[in-house]
Amino acid sequence: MHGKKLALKITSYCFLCLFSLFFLFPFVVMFLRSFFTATESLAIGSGLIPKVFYPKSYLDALDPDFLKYTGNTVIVIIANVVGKPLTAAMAAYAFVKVRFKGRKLIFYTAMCTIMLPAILTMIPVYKIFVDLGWNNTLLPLTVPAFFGGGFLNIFLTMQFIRSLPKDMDEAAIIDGANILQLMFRITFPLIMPVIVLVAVQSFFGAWNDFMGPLTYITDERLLTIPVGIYNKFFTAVSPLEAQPNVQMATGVIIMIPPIIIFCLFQKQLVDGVTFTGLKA
Amino acid sequence: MNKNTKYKDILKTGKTLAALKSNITGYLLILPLLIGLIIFTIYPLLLSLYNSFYLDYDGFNNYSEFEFGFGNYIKAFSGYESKLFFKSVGITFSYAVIMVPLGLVLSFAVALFLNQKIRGMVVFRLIYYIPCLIPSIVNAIVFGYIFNSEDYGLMNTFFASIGIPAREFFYSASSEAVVTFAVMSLFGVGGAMLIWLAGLKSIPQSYYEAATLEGSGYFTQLFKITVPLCTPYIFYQLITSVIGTIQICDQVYVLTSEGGRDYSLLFYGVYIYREFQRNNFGYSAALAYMLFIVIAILSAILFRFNKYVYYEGDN
Repeated sequence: MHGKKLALKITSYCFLCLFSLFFLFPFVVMFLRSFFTATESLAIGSGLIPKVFYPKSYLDALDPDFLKYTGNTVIVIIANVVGKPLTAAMAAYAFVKVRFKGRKLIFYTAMCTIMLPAILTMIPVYKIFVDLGWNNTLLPLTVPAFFGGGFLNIFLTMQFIRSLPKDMDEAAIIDGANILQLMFRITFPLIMPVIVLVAVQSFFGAWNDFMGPLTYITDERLLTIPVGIYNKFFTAVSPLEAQPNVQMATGVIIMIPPIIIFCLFQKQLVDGVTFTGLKA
Repeated sequence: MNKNTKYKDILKTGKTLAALKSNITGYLLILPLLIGLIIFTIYPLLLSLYNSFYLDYDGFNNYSEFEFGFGNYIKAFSGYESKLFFKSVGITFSYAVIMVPLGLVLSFAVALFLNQKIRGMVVFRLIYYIPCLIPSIVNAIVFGYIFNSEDYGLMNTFFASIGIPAREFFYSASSEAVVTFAVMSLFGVGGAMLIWLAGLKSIPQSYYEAATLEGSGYFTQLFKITVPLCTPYIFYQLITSVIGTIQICDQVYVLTSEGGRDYSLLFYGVYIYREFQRNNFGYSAALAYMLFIVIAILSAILFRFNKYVYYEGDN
């Protein structure tokens, strides 16, 4: 019996390591190729080990353009990380704790939005931004974060608020607290884990967003990292001009922040999954 | 008597006041969401519907210059445009039919391996999840090299060393492009895996202990305990991955913005975006509405399966 269990464990480890090799493979490739020179990366049969170790790719990757895109991305991320959790928490609180007319109607309307293909609203929204003259600013990527926060985030927060004990509210009501005091003093501190979760997911969303800036931003100087990088490398005329080694270094650089954030908030992210409304 | 009505009146005004106050607070809290819904969802939806009825509406000229009717919808099914339309529908549909079940089964298997009392589980979980954390542009960079159609590409270097002729991968005009894309997307099963793990963790360990005492084996337990108790998660994942898959757009756009050679990677989402970029607002709105209808129908069908889903606490 004991031997069988040990054998099972060893097999499991073998499989887990095999999977790890599979999932890490592209990133190992990227990492190794980021130390190539441009000419060597285009040489036939150059493989994965650089002949000359060439770390200058990283300096080339961090050029003024990249820093500019990073600056824009940081602004967009701040707006999303603040705006989405805040509006989602406000709406969630209202849906769970406040009785008002049309509550159900608004809730179900918001729920239906998750079925809408993003592209369906994207095109008219683009037109709205153009009419407002916003397509030459960062507003299309920042302002919407303060209006809605995304239904899934609202739902997640609602589930969390529902799971809180109610007696603290009752005690505070007896002490004469009003709804806003209840919300900011009692509920919000208790729902910090889910607010952090929504903030972290908003970070990933803003860091990875490609279609948003591609559609709404016309000014090259206002692009965020993904589209900026895309324009820099993927519209180049010749393979050499596309600097494959710098591409790889850039890839390594922009992978780092999401990985750090995931490591820091792993617990919230993993626990949060159980709250995604799987108990319909 | 008089006193009584007075009390009732006071009570009543008190109640109405409280209700009014509650209504005002409610709307204040919901206001950002409500404004967002109206400006960024409902109004655009109506505008999109309106645009879709003007044949070849370009988004900027006056509506009176365009023909009103079902022109855009008919356009998709006739003439030159229908070739692209049916091609994109075929690619998207066949991709979804194969890759949704495959993705779910593979991610479930990976989650089963991870759901053991194993040291280093956190590290494995991170490694499997990394491909889901990174922007699609990084995928384009690294897989653009691995599956490069030139001889210096990694796979082609490997093929050359074992004597297989070089392949074109993403730049192929045949279904090879979609197959390459499918292989690339397998790296993304970590996202679904994370949700499966949550599902597996929610199953009480005592069920397995009881089953082991009764002498049932691993696979009996898997299909009699694990899978039935995971049905809420299966249901959720099925819906989200079906809806996600038929909307695929940016992962392809970063590889081949116009849908590849001979449109071999023209997923439906890419097709809509391509028409939008050519200022065919009317036509792309019609295409997007058809996608919306398909998603609504699929969701309705999938929700019929809800009755087979076991929710803890139900009878």
